[in-house]
Amino acid sequence: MRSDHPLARDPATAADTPERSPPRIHGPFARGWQLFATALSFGVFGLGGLCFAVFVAPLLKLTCGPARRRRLAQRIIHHSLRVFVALMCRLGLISYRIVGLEALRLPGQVIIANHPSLIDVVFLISFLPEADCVVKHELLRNPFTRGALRTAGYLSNRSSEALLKHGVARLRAGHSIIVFPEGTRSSDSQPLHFQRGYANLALYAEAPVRPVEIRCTPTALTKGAPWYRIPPQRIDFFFRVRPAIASTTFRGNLARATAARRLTRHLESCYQRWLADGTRTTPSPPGNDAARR
Amino acid sequence: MQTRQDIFDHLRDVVVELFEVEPEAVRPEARLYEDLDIDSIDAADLMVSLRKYTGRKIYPEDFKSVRTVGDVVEAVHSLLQP
Repeated sequence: MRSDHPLARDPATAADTPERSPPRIHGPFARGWQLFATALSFGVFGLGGLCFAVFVAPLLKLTCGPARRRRLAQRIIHHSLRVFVALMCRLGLISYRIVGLEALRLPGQVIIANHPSLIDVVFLISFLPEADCVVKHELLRNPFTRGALRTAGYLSNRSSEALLKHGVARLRAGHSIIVFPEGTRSSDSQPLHFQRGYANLALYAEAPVRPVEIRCTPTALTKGAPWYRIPPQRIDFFFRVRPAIASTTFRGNLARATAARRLTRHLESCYQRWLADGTRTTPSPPGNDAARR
Repeated sequence: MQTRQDIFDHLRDVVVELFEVEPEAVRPEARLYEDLDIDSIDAADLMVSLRKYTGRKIYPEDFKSVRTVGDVVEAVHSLLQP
């Protein structure tokens, strides 16, 4: 069934293909297993973060300079999260599909995505061998994530000045940067609203913006929900990499601030249109979608 | 020597031009972030423009407690006092 899939040979996409609707998990035993497996996954994640901080970060600090250290740390995080995603798939907790992986991996892009779940960024990093991320400042303080995120040189969302300065330099050096322009996880009750840091970043660096559409079925791991309040079924993720937008076409003779607003309005309306297309919440059958990428 | 009204008029023109805000929305009591959607990057651009307008050096500290359009006018006005 997977043989005709154009991306089947890429290990990062070789997750089990979701069926039409995720299988429900029945019975107290199965539910217990799901909760156990979820707790196990969170535990593995936290332990991995701590191990990085205790063993990997000091080793990298001793052996290489800042730029190389960042690159190596990002690669290690990428591979660790690939294993982590594979683990969650094997445990039957999640499944995922991605359409357009090659385009996502092009250099020097500002990669943006909507943010339905806690683990969106885990997937995006698992797709990208080297990428910078803009992360919430608290994660740079959290003991489980601090070591890895700081060593990888991920950018804090706290100071827009520092973000622009470092972000533009990374983009010009050919690195891509992942940003969730909503600034926090998406809310079903609120209309989608983007902040404009990513747009200013792209306009400054004259870098393309690469939108990724993320769907998570059923809704799970949303903002404010505790980890154990997961729906009693497998969570299916779908990632569609959309065509890049040249930020320069929005610039023209406009001031950057003005262009950032127009670019953002355009992308907000794109996302509203993509996500409103509710008939294809879990796109299927798999073959057709992949062919359309 | 610019009056408060001069400063306000200039500020309104800049905000309307750069940030595509409706002119009627630019009132002294309008809050920059909540009402006019001016974020920290915009604020930096605004300072550059005010620096050109006043011909003075402007330090971010002078604008730390600025929340509304009226606050900006007041801060610029006090900067221009001899």
